[in-house]
Amino acid sequence: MASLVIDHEKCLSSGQCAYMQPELFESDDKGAPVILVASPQGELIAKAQDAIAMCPSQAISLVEGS
Amino acid sequence: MADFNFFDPEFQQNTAAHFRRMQKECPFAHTDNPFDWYAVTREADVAALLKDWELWTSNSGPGLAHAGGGVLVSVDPPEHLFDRRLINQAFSPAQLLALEPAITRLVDELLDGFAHKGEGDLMELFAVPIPLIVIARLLGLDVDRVTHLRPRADAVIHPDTPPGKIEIPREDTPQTQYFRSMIDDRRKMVTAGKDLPSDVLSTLVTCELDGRTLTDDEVLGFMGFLFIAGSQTTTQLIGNLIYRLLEFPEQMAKVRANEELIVNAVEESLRYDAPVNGLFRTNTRNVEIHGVAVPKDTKVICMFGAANHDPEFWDQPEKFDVERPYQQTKRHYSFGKGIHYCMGAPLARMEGRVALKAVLARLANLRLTDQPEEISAAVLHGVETLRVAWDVPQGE
Repeated sequence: MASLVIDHEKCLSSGQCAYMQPELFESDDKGAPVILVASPQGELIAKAQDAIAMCPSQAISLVEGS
Repeated sequence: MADFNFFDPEFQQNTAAHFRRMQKECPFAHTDNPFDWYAVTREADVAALLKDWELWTSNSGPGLAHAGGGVLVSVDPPEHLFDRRLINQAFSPAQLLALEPAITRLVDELLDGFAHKGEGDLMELFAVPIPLIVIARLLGLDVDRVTHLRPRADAVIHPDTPPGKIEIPREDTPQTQYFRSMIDDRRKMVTAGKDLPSDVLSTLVTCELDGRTLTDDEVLGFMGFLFIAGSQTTTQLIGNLIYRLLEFPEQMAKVRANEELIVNAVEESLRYDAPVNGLFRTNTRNVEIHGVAVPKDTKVICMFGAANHDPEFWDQPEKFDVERPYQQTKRHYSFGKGIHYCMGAPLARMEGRVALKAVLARLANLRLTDQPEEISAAVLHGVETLRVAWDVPQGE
């Protein structure tokens, strides 16, 4: 099973993940992303991949085996 | 009595002082040129407006003209989601970052062409052509042709811009005619079953998303917008970055001593000199801001450049400091924030890095020979000219 990971050093708080995939991410009051579904499954996997592709800072990944 | 006059050359040449005054004295600043509109300058207000896209819509365009019918920066969801996914097919952060070796070669070739001269205007020689050539290649345009078509970013904001069509250029311009002929050519190639070049134009002409394809006008809208957004703004980034390092030689020395600071220098330049002063939003209902009743459909500019210097948010905002921690510097507003965050940000940052690295490597003892002029386009901020000299090694 794969888990969503955000590299907060790389993250630029653009808000794109929460905008494109609100089921998986939200923005906190400072605009930083919060993961809502730690290990997406089923159709959420494709949505996680969309968020990964759209992230302007390339800060999101799906990591296997956790 | 207006709080500020955005189009006054005196304002344009002293934006930092005016932004500070507005933050203190009139956080919701009014102007009446050429009609009533407002500016927010405090970081907290800029953040709040950019976040609430339903109240502060982009559907009336990012400029002063009430203009609908555009793409990306001129629409909100759901159209905006469609546009971003579409452009991401040809313009994803990963694809943009993969261009670094090609852009490095391009920058080196440009330097080969003028490094022996020992002096010149780095805007004309360097900061203008890099982004223009890069965006032309990405979009699939002929580089020699577009160098004659200097796009004007000011058209995005200027009140004289024809209402309704700010992203779709006027039909009678050489740029529009050229773009239309390119779209025609690609459509004919598709009909003839030929292989298309791999570029943004091919993606736009062939893409299918949510079961539909784009019309010629829509393709033209995207092309016109990306051409402007991808060129002049990055030109300002490159020029402003080199200028500040020349103005503050101790900062240049730090970057020369430690190349890892190049990334920080680019980010600090973006913070210190926002290439775009700000962009507009329009309220969809009556609101009150700082005690001012704001009727629906009022144009309010979010001043990125002011938020980037708000002393409530930044430690020593007036200091240009390449050693400012990156985790702080990256919080600047120069690419906007929220749903309309700049899609070209990874490309702009990379072009800035590559350009600075090449200047450090190839132009020894670089120095200003003249004070630069402030760019005349009101929406933009930074240098219009950058006259410099450098040492040419013996034998070149």
